[in-house]
Amino acid sequence: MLKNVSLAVKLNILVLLVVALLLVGVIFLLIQNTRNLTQEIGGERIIAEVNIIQSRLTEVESEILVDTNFVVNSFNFISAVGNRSPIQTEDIVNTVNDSLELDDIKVVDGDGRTLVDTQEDEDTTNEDNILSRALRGQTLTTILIEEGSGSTQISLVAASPITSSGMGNILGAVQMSRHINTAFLQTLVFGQDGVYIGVIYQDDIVARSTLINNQSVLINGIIPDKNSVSSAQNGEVVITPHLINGEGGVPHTVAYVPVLAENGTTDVVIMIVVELNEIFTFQNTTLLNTILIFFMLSLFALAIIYINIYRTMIQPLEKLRTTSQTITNGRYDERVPITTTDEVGQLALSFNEMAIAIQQREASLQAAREQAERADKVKSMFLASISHELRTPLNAIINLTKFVGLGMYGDVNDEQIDILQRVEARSKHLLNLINDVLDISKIESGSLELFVEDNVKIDEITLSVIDTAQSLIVDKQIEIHHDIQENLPLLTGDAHRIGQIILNLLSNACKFTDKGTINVQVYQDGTEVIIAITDSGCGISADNHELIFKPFRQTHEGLRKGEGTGLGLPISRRLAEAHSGRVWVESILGHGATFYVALPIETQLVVTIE
Amino acid sequence: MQELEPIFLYVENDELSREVMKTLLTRGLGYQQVMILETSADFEKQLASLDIKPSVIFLDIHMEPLDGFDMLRLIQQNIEYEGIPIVAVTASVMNEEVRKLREQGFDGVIAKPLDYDTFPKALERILNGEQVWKTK
Repeated sequence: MLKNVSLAVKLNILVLLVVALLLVGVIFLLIQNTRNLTQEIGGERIIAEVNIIQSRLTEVESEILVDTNFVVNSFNFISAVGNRSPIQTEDIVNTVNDSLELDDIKVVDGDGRTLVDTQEDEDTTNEDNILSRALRGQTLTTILIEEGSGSTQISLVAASPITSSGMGNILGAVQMSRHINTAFLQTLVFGQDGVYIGVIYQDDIVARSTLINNQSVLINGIIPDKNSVSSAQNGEVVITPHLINGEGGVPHTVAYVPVLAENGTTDVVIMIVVELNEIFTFQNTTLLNTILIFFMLSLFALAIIYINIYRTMIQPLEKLRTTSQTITNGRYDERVPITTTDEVGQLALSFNEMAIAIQQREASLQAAREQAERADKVKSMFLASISHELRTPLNAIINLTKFVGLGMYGDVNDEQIDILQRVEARSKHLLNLINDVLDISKIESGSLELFVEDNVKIDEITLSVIDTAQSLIVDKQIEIHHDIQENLPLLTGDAHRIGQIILNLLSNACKFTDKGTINVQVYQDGTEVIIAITDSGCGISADNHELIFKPFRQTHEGLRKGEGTGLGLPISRRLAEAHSGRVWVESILGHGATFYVALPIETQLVVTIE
Repeated sequence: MQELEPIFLYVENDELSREVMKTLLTRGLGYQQVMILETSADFEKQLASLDIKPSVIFLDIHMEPLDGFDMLRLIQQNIEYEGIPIVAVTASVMNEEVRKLREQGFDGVIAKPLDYDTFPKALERILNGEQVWKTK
């Protein structure tokens, strides 16, 4: 996936990965530490709240008791109760309660009949219990649980007998209670933020410091833990050891405090929840800041890394690439600058060494090429010079011998004519030899040039060659027949050289045939034009069919004839090959021979001959 | 018809080559008017001192002090010789040399050694104003 992206991108992705891992680690540690801190702080706070609330409850109990004692010791009250006057009693109670602000005050006479009840309840069983104990002379404070339809009211209660002053007769009893309701619980909290209190009775929240109306949830989705509640009901103060996450992940510490009743039972449990919002907010802010700082640091690091990578690697590598391209394009003196000694620098160094090696090799190749070209030039100048120097004297020898032999310079006798003709023939042979040697050396050196033309008419060339060959057979009883197909395709090639091939083969045929016929056939065979020259001469043994195409090699018959250079056939074959053609022989010794030339119609010319 | 009789000018430093050409033209082909220059020194003066204008000029190529090409240029610059065929007679008849002759403006080439059998036909074509480039 990343194979095709640049080095810097790869590295930056790597760095991003590392940074992301670091970030995850840091966040993890941060959360862990914050949690520990939260737990510690939360633990302290919940303990403090538990203490406060426990002591407040005790205080309130004592206050009610004090209030009760105050009322029962009042002379007017005693006499009102002693008179069993509900009106008087109520007057006094109302007056007192104006300042005490208690939730429920009930007064009964010595027979247990109600004189005053500021708040009439549905079920008065528990209330009556307490009052009857007071009528028996007991002063007590306890928890009053009044289960009504739909709601349960928990109250702190104090009860006391009302005794006549001095005589000690029990005239009646009073019971005063303070409801543990929202208003009361709010006074316990002192208006502190983040502290919530609920009163649990029989697994239900029957009162709370908040105005939420839900029996199972106290605050922020936190529900009472049953195990902790039952532990608290056994008289134990339970502080939840772990933080409890409420709605939105805000951590809370929770405690359960038993409320001890006078008879030792602890059916009522107060649940205290401390919301650790500040620390949570602090944690979140810190996290956000950390991520932000990490992000900016990462960007900064990436930029630095990119710039460094670009300067130390990408730029030098790019330079290497362009330089190698320049060298490929032939500028061998190009080098890369070396600015460092690191791996990239080493690479540049060895690249330069390689470039030097290439340059030196190229230079020596160039020198060798030039030397070869010079040698070629020298050779062809030498050939040209040889040709000129040999032809100039031959001009005089051949022609003056001929002129003398023709009697242009005066009478010559038959014997002299015979001698002169032989000298002339040998001189012409020498000229042919020179021509052939020049041709073969040009062929061997690859410097023979073809003068290529289109529309070469092979039939016309053949007829012209046959015409030339007539002079070779004037003294022999030979006829040259020809059979040239009509409408032959035009060829592409060097007409002069093609004529030379045919003339070489035809003059060989004339040379080795003493009497009879020579047939020249020209025809198209597939993609080739074939020139077949058949003689009725001595033939060539199969052993020699390839030998005769090697330079300076002749058959015994050829050597016996004493003419020829041994170059005609190799030259012919090479010239044909230069036209992408072929020359070969078919012959049986003693039964004549047929030499074939095959020239392609679609010529792919080999420009120089190897 | 003396005016129709061709007049030849041959510049050649090799004595025997001069002899061959002269004999071939006169005794061989029966022409009468063959002018021969033996050196290319003061070529312009020699040209100017000719009594009559030739109808064909044969030039050897390998000569000193002026070679065939120098002489060709001098003749080409002389307006009086305009239209007269100038033919190289040379033993240097390899392809590249012939190509150079052609490029420089010769009207043909006759190869040395002269060929007794083919020379008359080539000469006839030259006199007819044709170019002759077959070398063998």
